[in-house]
Formats: sequence, structure tokens, C-alpha cells
Amino acid sequence: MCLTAYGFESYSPRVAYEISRDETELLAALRRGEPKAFEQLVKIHQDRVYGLCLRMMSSRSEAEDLAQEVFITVFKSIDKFRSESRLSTWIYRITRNHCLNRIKFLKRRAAGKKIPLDTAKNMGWGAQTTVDPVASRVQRPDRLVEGRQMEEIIQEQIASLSEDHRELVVLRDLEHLSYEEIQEITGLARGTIKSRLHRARMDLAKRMAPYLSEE
Amino acid sequence: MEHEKAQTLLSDYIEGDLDKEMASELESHLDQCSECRTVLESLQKLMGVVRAMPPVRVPENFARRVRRRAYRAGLFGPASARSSRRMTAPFVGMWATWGLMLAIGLVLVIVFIAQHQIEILSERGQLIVSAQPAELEYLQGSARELGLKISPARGDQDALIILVPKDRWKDLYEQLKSHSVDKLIPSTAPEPDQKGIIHLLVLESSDG
Repeated sequence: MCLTAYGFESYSPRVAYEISRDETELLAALRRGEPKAFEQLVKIHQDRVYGLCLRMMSSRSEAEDLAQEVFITVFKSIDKFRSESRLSTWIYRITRNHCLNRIKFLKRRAAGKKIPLDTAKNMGWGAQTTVDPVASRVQRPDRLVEGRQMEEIIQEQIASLSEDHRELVVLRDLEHLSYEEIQEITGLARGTIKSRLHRARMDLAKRMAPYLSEE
Repeated sequence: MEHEKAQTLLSDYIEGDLDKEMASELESHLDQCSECRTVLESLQKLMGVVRAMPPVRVPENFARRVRRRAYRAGLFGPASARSSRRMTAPFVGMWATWGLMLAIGLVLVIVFIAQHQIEILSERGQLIVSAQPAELEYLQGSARELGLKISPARGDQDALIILVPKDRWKDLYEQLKSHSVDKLIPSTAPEPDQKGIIHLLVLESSDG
């Protein structure tokens, strides 16, 4: 048995989607405040929530702290979930908002404490430096690097994008979300998402150029 | 097609999001414009490597740490705690049996404190507490901070024995109380053994 719900968004037509019986039961148990339901919620969504936090923050400790906060917020606010979107999308929206708030907070704190620029840049929320820490680690940045090293390079270059560019690259190209889901999560119009995402990719392509060129 | 417009359409083109007519116009432009072809190629390369990134794996024991934080944040009220306890009753029984065997088989009294939702077995110098995993972990952390000796119960990584000198009992209790986990242990210590030591054996009651 499935229930059908309809989403309301000013920038898009109503979107019908289905809530599975499992999700309906999970929601009911969450609303009753059952610890087991909380554990199930975490089990189901932990990879994607943590993944989004890590991609946005580029720091494992920040990502874990944030992801924990997200689950607690979700549990506390479950009564506010009106089934107008998928539960996963709603959780993603909360995750995204937590990440942006944390980035703002860290920026303010960095400004107050004057955190060294390289630290700030590695966290993805500071000013750009002229020295590229990745390039300094790679012996031949003109060569195509592979494997784990490439993952690290991509992650660092994504972290160096502005937040509004970074979140779209992460949601679309790393988390493989549809444009409809990204609309619901960010509240942006589809056209804005597409044009901003294109600029973000162009920016990232420039930063990645030394590592992607063929020998 | 104008060069500027062509550039803005490259992402959509790669994603197959252009209608046939627009795609065809863009392709005509690409045939003539090497700059756009270069940009297209670099975007294709970029999206290839970015999209091939493996998914992030959540750190080990993440779920457990979230649960501990949730308990510490007081997320689960007494009603939900009772509900959880009922569901895990068979596990409590199993752990209690293990605890009895591991704790030299000297347990005399079983006291269930309903308002605390925990199970306590005690005798002179020994207190056995059955705790939720999050509470167990927190208790371990607190004991460590106080420099108390902690050892795992034999053969069971989720059960601890904490040796609490009589004069440190209050410190441990106060530390737990300050973090709203005073439900974990009674406010009064059992009588210590002849050496003045209280053996606190903490068993994990369920692991979800």
C-alpha cells in the first residue's frame, strides 16, 4: 500500500510522489518519539547526510558533528514534516541549511580569531591563497593523477569553490540528485540552478585543469 | 548560434538536457569554434572524474555516537525509554545472565528502579548496572576523566568493570549528574568491600 502526497512549490508544478509503507511506519514511530525509530532513521540516511556534510565542510570532524546535529534536529522537528516532499529531501534540506550556517559561523569565528589563511582555505571557507596546496604535493601536476590522490584533489578544489557554487556541484555531480530535488532543497528556481551550476563547473574545470590534462 | 550563448549551453548539452533543435545548433557552432570545443572537452573530463568519485562512507560507530548524543540531549523522554526497554527485555535478560557469570557469581539482590529505567544488581562492594549503550559509553568516558581504573569484563567488549574507591564515588556521581545522566546510578553508593573499593560492573542492555 502506498500513500500519495503532493508538493507545493511556487517555482515548479505540483510533484506527485509515493511514500512507502515502511516510511509511513517510520514516520509514525518517529512522531511517537521512539528511540528505535531514531536509530533506524540514522541507519537509513547516515551515509548521505554525512557525505553531504563532508563534501560541504571538507573536514571529517566538522562533518561528523554536523551530521549528528542534523539527525537530532530531524528527530526534534519531525512534526513539522508535512509529507510535501520526500523525507530524504527534507533531511537533505536540513543538512544543507546546517552546513551553510556552520560555514557562516566558522567564517565569522575565523575573522575574529584571524585563523591562518591556509587553514581557512583547507576548510573551504576562507580567502584564496596564491599557493595551491595540492599542486605543491603533486610532483608532476601536469600529468594526469589517479585514484585516491585524484579524489583528494577534487575534494580540495570543490572545497575552494564559493558556497553557492559548491553546494550545487555537490548535490548534482556528487550526490546525483535530480534538478527537482535540488529545487526543493535549495529553494532556487531551475533556471538559476542550471546557470549557477554551469558557472560552478567552469570554475572547477579551471582549477582542475592542471590535473586533468593528458601527458 | 552566438558564441556566448553556446558557452552557457555546454553543461546542458553534456547532460543531454537540450532539445534536438538546440543541440543541433550548438553542434554546428562547435564545428566552427575551437574555443568552445576546448571548454566542452574540459567540462566533459571534469564531470567524468567528479561523477566517478566513490560515495563517502560514514565513520565507524557513527550511529552509536549519534545515539549517545541523542540520549545526552534528552531526546527520549521517560515514556519512550520505557517503550524501548520493553522491546529489549530479552536482551536485558541475556546480558544480565552474562553479567552474573562474569561478576564472580556473587549477585544477591536485583533492584529495578522504575523511574530510572535501569536494572541494578548489588551486594557488598559490587554494583551491577545494566545501561543503554550511549549511557555505557558516557559512563566510561566520565570514569576515565576521573582517572578510575576501567577494564572490560572478560570476553565482552560492551561490558565494563570500573573500580571506584569509596572516596571517589561522589565525584563520579556528580560528574554524571551534571550531564543529566543521574538516572544511570543511584545517588548512594553500595557499601565498599574491605579494601574500600566499589566494583561497578556496567553491562550494555541493548545495542539496537
